[in-house]
Amino acid sequence: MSNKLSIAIVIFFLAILNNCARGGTETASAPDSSSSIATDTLIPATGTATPLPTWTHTPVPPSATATPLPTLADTSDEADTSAETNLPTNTPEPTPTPIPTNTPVPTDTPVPTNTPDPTPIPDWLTVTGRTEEGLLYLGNPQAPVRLIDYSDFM
Amino acid sequence: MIEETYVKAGLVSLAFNPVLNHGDRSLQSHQAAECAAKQGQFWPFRHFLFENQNALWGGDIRTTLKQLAADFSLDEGLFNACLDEQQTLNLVNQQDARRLDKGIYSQPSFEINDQILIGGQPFSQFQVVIEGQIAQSQ
Repeated sequence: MSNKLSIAIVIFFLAILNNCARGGTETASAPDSSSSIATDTLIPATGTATPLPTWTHTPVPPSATATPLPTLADTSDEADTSAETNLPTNTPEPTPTPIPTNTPVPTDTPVPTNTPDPTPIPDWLTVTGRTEEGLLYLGNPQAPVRLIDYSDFM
Repeated sequence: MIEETYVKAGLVSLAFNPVLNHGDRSLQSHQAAECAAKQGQFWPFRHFLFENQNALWGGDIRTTLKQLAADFSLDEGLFNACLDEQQTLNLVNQQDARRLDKGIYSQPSFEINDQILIGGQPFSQFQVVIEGQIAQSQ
């Protein structure tokens, strides 16, 4: 029993190999009689092989927004260090602009001039006289008000 | 107060017109004041006489007046001669006649420009009249 099984297995594998050698076409040669196997039960017969899809390369038109990939800078000593990196440098902070203050505009200092002394105001309590009518008066004779005191000492 | 408030400021000139309502005493007193005016002391002696008004009512009026003049430090010789000789009698009489012509019979009376105040008045009343006259003059 085991010998028959072994033989069947061998015949099976031979049939597979024979099928692969043919490429799966009609022009495949007839099977070797020596390896006749029951292909109808193990390997289904196929008509035409489906060709494998092939990838086609469609060139992509260059885009205006395309950003070129940065390239690594040359690390040699003679390289321009200013363009070494695009990294931001420490920019000094702008100094604060001082806020202008209202500075008074200096005015010309008036030069003192020789001014005459003002006319002294008389002490009207010391000015006395007599009116046209003969009355004694005290004070400013040009005063806007004249007060006459009609009195007796008694 | 009128002198300190208005006369000193040159706003009011103060004049004096005698009123002879009490006979010879009034006449002698006013002559004595005019005699002091001859020595340039009318206004202060006038004040002095009002302060010693009670003394004028007793004794001989001339004696009293001469004593008061001496007390006031007037030149006694000039004052006494003036008073004795009645050097200022006519002037005093002329001034009294003037007030009669104006219809002034009561004393004290006050003529402030063209406005008459009769009798003693509080200072505030004088202020109203004086300042009203000042405003009119401006």
